[in-house]
Amino acid sequence: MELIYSEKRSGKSYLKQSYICVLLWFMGRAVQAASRVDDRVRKEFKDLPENFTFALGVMPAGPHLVVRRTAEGTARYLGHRITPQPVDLKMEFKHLDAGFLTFTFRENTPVATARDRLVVDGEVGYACAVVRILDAVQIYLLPKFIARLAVKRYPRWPLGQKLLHRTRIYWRTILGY
Amino acid sequence: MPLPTCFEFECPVKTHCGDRALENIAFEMRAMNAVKPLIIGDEPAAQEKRLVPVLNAFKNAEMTLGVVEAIPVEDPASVAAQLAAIYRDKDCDAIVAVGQGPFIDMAKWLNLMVSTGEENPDAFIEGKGIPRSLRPLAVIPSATADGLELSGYVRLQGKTLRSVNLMPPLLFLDPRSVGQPGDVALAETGLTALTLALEAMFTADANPMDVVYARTAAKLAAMGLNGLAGDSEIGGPLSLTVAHAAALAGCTLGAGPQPLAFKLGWAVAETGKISAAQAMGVMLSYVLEHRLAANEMPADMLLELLDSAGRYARTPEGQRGAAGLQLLRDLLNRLFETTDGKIRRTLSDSGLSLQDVTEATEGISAQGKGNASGGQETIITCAWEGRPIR
Amino acid sequence: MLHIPGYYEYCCRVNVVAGHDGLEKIPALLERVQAAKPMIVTDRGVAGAGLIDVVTAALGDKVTIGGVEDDVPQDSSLEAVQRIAEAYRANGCDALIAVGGGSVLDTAKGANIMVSEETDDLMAFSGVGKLKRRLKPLIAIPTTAGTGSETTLVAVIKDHARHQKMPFVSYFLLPDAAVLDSRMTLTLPPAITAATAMDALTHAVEAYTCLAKNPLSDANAVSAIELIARHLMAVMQQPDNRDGRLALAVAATLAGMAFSNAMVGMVHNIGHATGAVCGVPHGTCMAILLPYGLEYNQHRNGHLTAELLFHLEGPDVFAHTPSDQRAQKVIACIREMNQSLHAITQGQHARCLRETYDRDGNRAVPFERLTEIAATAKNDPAILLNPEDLDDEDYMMVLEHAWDGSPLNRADIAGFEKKY
Ligand SMILES: [Fe+2]
Repeated sequence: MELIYSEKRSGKSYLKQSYICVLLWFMGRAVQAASRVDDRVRKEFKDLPENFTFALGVMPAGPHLVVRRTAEGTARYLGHRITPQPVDLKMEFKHLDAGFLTFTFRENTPVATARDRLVVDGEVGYACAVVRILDAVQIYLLPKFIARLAVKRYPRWPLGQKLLHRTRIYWRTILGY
Repeated sequence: MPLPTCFEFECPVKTHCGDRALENIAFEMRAMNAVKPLIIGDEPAAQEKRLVPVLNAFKNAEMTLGVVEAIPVEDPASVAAQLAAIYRDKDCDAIVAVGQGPFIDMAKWLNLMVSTGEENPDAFIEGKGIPRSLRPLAVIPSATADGLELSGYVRLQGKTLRSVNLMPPLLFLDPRSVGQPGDVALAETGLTALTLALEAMFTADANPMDVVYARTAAKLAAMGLNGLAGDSEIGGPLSLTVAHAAALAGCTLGAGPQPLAFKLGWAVAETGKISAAQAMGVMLSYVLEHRLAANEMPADMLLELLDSAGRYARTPEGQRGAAGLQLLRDLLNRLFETTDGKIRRTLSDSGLSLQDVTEATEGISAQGKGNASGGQETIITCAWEGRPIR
Repeated sequence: MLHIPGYYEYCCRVNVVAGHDGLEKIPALLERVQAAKPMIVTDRGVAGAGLIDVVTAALGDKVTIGGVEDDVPQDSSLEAVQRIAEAYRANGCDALIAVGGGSVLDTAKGANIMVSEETDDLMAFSGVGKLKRRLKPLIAIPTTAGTGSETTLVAVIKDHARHQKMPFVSYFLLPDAAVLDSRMTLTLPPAITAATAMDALTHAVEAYTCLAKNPLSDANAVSAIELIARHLMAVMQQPDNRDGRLALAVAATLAGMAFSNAMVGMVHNIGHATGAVCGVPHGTCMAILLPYGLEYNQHRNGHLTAELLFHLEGPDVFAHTPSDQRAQKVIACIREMNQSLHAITQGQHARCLRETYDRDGNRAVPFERLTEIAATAKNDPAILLNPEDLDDEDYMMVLEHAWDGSPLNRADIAGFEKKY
């Protein structure tokens, strides 16, 4: 009985990867925009140490979204690579599919955490602040019925404030100012 | 149950169960410093294409995979030797085994060979010399299981090695890889799991840590079997539930001695008239009834395990034990009905004579684990007739 | 009922040896990992209570002890780690035995990294998954029945010079064995017995009622709860009850297994903050806050809390309580436990935050500091897996009630009205 051995590379899922790339880019820009427009997000960034850099992404090779807290206390989106700049806090999905589940709003952050989908490394003490920032940004960016899936408790902010902020964050996200 | 005044517990298995479980294999491999797993599958896995989701789950993992499919189990020692040669020749550093029963025994033996360089199983008799850390081994079982997949047992050409160190460190249960066996095969896996789990729970020296696995395996098995027996309240993918039960039942057994009903089941199966799983399923309630009576242990918890805390609580205290055993027997009767008699209620259902059974089970020792001596005859007679001991 | 999440992971690789003569098994455990000369790591309190003598007597002449390092500080520190690693190397040891609580074990883990990786730069291995191979054998002997740290794969070492906390996370940090021996907790003072048992109870209850629960962690949790419910009061009344002591130690380890797989929630979240801001012992915070956590989350997980009544109070109480009142009954039971512990310890076991005192007899948690606790709690990761969120007002509301000892007013909970 001869056993047949074959060897293969693990391959790539380009569709999921591209989707995550685009979404992370969009969120990165949105975080940057929200840090200038929204009081809550601005305050979260103010409380972070200067030059604090965090990344959200997928193992083993990305993509990521990398954001730094600037000297002025706002956020700057640094792109989708974790090198060369050092990252203080890294939140990474263990595999592409776990990221895809979350970024398609089928598993929110608490559920993904409960299911051990994420590895948090570095200055874990700031993980809560980062999660709050990402939650707040999602609430602005996404229509309510999707955002409800993404966060534990959908906030009772006045509607006007949300709509106004939402448009401003959208514009800034796309234009990048 | 009273707490034993001295016990030891160990289970090196890490369980991954549910949606996208397979996608975590690559992460776990990297965590154990492995970059090139050898992925092996048995013939049923090849027929049901259960290797496909496993290989796909490595997408974007940036790894090289060695693959050997449709491996026969007729001559496990020579197959393992060939695979060991491949493993070394191709510089693999971990094993992912997709399959069931004897195939997994072969995979564990393969791992022992490539980890130690030893090619003769006699070197490890009684578990001696089996090192604590072997190469990473991931087991991806199906819903057709013999219950020993996750245990510390390796059966190889009539010899048995057992050691906690032989328990696979990684278990992946995924709806895509457990397969969709027919009702009878599923029920048989469920009955095996239920036997291992309940036997572990109802022993005089059960410790609360073993009970954790046993309790969970028992509830999962009951859930799966109740689903197969047509209980409308139970939903979800039955194959996953049953595979889950069998895997945790293997963890429960570990490298401990095989329980009585399990051994009797395998012995009766030698007659060729009934499968081991069905035989142990039939004998389980009688073994428990006899043991509990002899040790004055209550069978009350059966009600909670097979049904719910509510059922247990609302049944009057004096009736709980009998009601639990009755529930176990009813379960078998309902399975008999929904499988058109393919799952047996009694040993006589299988066409065996009482003498056949007695001969087949001669020499099975009921020692240890709180079994009463001299009860085997009673157990077999009652299981053959389908009549409660009391 | 079995709750099976869409996906879960469970791992509990630590080898547990438990018994009235568990310590006597250590030579065999060492032999199994081919070690013969262990170094004992502990702290002054443990050594002062004579427990190291019990351990060395149990080891007898079967094992050569390579040294006893008994001055691990309250908080694990880099200096202690370095000192122990040096002594380990100088004495030619080949294994570590950590006797004590969380900081002793963390220190031993840190020293183990240094001696196994043959490095002086501990920092290089800080973070998740930086360790890639087995370390030297490490045996943990807990001396309180509470923390469950013997089941965790984490170590935190403080670098006081650089004001940094170095976390280490790896399966290789799990001890090779945890030895639970009734002699190690036999002399634990009543108030500490009570507080540590309530910590263990909280681990089990939070693991069972928060978001990362799974069928195996649930089974751990209910076993722990049953053992604590059955044995805690007996041990409080009769401290030299060996069987009871062993049961509580086993319960604490079971609860540790539950929470190291299913995590914890707001009780630990607020408890960590209260400890950090006001220095209240962890177990005391847990005992006080546990009923509040269950009360606050009730609209999310009341059905799970209700299930615990069966394990906490037994089938009769369970059957006699209407199903919609079971969660409330569980909360009431835990408050009664606190009340009984308060009585039996002559008031040493605090029932609310205002009853906690520091060493000098001053109130440990002045009312004015509650805002500070709330601000700290916001950044404690234990909140992530709590079933309900807390905003600033929610934190203050819970803290004010916990300070005062009055039950929560459910209508005050912000998430409540939206859900129902
Ligand atoms: Fe705790």
